[in-house]
Amino acid sequence: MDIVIVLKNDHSESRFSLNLEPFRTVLDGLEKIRGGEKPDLIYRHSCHHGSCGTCGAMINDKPRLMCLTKVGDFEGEEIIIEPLRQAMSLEGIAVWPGALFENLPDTGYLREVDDESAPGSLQAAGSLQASVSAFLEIPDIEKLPRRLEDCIECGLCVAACPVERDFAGPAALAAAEIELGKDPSRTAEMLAFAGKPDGARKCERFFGCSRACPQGIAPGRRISNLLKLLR
Amino acid sequence: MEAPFAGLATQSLPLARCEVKKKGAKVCVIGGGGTGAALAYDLAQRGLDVILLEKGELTSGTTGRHHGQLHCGARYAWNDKSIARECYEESLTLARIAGDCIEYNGGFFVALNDEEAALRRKFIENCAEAGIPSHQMRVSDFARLEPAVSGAVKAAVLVPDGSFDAFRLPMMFFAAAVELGARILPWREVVGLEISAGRMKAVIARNLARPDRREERIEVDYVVSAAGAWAGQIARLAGISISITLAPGTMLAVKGRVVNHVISRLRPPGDGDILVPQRGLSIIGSTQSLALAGNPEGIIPSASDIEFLRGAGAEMLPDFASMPTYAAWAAARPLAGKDSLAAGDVEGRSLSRDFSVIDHESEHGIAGFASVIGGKATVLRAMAEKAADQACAKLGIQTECRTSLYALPSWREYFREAR
Repeated sequence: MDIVIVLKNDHSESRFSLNLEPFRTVLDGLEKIRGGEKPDLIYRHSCHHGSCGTCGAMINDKPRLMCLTKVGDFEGEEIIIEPLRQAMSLEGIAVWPGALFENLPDTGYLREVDDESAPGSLQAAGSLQASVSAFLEIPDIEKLPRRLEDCIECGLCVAACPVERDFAGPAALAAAEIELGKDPSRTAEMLAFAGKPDGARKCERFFGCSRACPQGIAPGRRISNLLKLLR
Repeated sequence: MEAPFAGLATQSLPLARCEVKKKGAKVCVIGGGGTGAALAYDLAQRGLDVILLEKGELTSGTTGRHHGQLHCGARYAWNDKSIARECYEESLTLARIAGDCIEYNGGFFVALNDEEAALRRKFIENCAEAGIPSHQMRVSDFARLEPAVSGAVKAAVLVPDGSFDAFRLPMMFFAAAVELGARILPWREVVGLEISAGRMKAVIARNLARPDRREERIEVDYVVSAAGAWAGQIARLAGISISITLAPGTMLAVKGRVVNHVISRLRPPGDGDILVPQRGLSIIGSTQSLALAGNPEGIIPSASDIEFLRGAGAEMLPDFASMPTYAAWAAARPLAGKDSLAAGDVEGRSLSRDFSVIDHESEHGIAGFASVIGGKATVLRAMAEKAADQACAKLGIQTECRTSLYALPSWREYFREAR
């Protein structure tokens, strides 16, 4: 299909016409533009499969990952890409995500695979899993199998949040809520984090964060839970 | 045999306790992928003044698009025991220093037909020769552990594979480099290398993050090109040609963790024979073909590669056929050499997965310049060690590598500290 990609920030706008199959992504489109017409185009990207969290941008006013957004979703529309909201704009649509990381509390990065996402029944495989652990010489068999936490720190939730100032933001608060669920010994510490003046009470319950999250983490619901625990 | 993964996280030192003695020499690393990240950290830790230039975002070339398999080396033990052994050693080292971005769940090599089952004994022998532990599991037990895998499995061998986050692992090296004083500069495209009297003098870089694309001249004592698929272009700036082959590969992800261990076909490496669970995705990789044009930019997967991978996935996991594609992507895998390509090899599988450090002084008469080419993500630290050893020897600096001793900081620290 014929598509038009418009790259836009406060100072400039550039337009590109190209032809791509509908299943291609907006990021594929930028790669084609950079590989041909505009070699010095800059934008953040890394994994191209929704795992690294770098390629967030405002696409037709919604925060989305460019690598998971198909051009076929924009039949008859121009694809307008702008820098991710609430991140520091560099040049073109590229941003520096530092503020997101400064707000994040120090939380664990791995968790046990839980039953809902595990294939089959881990309980049934319990003794077998223990033999895998023994083979790997991991003493603590409960730690296997482990997986990375869902949050990819992409900042889409922050970009979707209407609270623009003095707020730790949905990514940081969701991380705190996940941490206290996983490690009850850190409950007081995480609640102290969420209870700070820039914490959960600043939330306006717009729930844009939950709608924007590509990982289904539902930061809005997690903030509501923190508010309950803080009462 | 070294104990895999046991208490590894406790066997490293905090980076805050790492003393660095400044040596005064200035080294420029070109390329912000995994190799450049590990190299910037290694050189900074040895006391050199490091500046790294990357034309895009860090890890935006081939590195970030890796499917994330932490290779214990079993895959390579068919052809090259020393590469296999190095993979195993490095996977244990990464487990010690970068555990936060790794899922250490092990992996199974599965035979799906009689032909593959007949290779089982050879596979186990290969692993033993390379020092990699392996353990044959009863097929019925394997089926309970991984019920989604095809019922046709005839043999399953457990090895210490894992998976890692292809973005976070190199970013942890970048965080460590920054903590030790290295300057990491993305959006800087190297457009010139200034050589006089047979010696590297300066690097000219365009700042793509400025509207005027201003050029900067950076005086250096030594340059290491770690530009991966772009290493040929960097070498051309110095008027020289290096032997490198681009072998693009396609990967495909489905949503959902259909398996918990890495699943590989029990046969010599080929296309579509690895299934890597990572976070909430399952990734099948990969294809390999030779890029005729030799241009690493703008590579997107072909529709036929996507179709092939969907079919290959369904051979291992019957449910794969009904799962929608979450993402499909391609990367320009840079392999060292092309002169050694076997006749009739259109995929480039006859090229080694080993890496080499080219000293452009002895090879091309340019002192103060080297290129690291080839290699694999799992051995990024070892590649950096070899390149840093050579740079230091050339600069007359006595040091030793210490990157395997210290725990790397979180990738989050990079974004907290780099500006």
